Amino acid sequence: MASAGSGDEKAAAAAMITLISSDNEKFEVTEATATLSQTIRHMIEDGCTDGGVPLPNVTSKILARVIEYCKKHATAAAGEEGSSSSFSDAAFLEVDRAFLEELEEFDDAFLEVDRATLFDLILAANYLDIKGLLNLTCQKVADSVKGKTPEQIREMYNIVNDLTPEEEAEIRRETQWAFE
Amino acid sequence: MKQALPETGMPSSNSQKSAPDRISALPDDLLLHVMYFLTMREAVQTSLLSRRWQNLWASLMWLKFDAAKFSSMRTYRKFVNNALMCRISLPEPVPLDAFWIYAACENSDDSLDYSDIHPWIRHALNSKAWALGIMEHSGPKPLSMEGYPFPFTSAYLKILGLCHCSIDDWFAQNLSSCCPVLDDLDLMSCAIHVTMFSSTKLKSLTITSTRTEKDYPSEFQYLEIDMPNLVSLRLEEIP
Repeated sequence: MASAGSGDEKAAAAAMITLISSDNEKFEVTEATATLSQTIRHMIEDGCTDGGVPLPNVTSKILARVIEYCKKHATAAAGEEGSSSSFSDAAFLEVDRAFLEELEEFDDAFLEVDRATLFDLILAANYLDIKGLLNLTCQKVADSVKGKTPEQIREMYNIVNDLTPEEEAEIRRETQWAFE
Repeated sequence: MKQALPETGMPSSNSQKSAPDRISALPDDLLLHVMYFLTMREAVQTSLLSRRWQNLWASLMWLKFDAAKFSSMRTYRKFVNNALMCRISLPEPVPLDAFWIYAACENSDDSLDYSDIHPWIRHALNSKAWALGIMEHSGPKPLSMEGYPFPFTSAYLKILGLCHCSIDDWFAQNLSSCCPVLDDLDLMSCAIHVTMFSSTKLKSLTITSTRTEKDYPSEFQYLEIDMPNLVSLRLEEIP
């Protein structure tokens, strides 16, 4: 009985990856979740994930959020593959559409974070090479500056204007064509 | 002493002033990734934020110029010309991935001629763009390359989209000899006067036309397509 149990555990463990945050917290995730990160995918391919994957640039707080995103989107990717053969089936399309809507809702809720967290997520997505998360977070920043004046953007993001009034006037003159 | 500190008001105002500027601290490639989601006009305007931002937009490698929100075709033309001028005057040339032109403007009766677009295409292809498209064009006549050297000569161009252009045998012949790696061609609402379209490289060909287009491809019924490596052929809304 004991040996059968450990065999099962071994099979399950083979598909699990341990991620270790900068503050030394360990996260067990499935390979499907972990490989949404191209950086981790390459490490798995190179066979250097035994004993866990240290991620010295990502704190446990941010890593937990990143894993939450990857879990959700890994399920989505698996769902897409599974249903592609039934492409013409209207019922399946309906399920797909509902799932995509749910995914969009998840993304919207996921982005409800303070600005510091948003920037930490951008840096983590870049470091881990998770294209979907990088696009999502960068788009969120872009949306926040849309339609704002330079003064409003500076205030919003604490950007110190280090241009002299003369320099600023010159840039304004040189880019007049962008304000017409 | 300890109790007196919060009363001064100094620490809180100081800490607000010194709140970190996280956005400017991002590396260039991530700031450009954010800018990718802005319109070109919004991207250029970030130059005014601070020294860090000055001319950063000019290193964007994915350019999409959309005339839709411009007050007139004249201001759009001026905008694209100036933006490309800024790119040219960068100390180090920055290559391009993709270059898209959307030249339909509701606020204007004016339209772009091919003479406006030709130098833009050459700039994009000289910058090694692998994707290029005139994705929208409104005007009384289709864009004609007549009188110009074949503009799409490139060792890098893989994806080409053309809207409302005159496509003739000269174009078809040059395309197969001057675009050695082109594998995706999309012709939208084009006036197609071609009898023989051959390519050994092309993998995807899409020809879309609208019924309302008065200059519809009159000789289309005789078109012969000789593309042995074609994987996808889509013909839609052909009258």
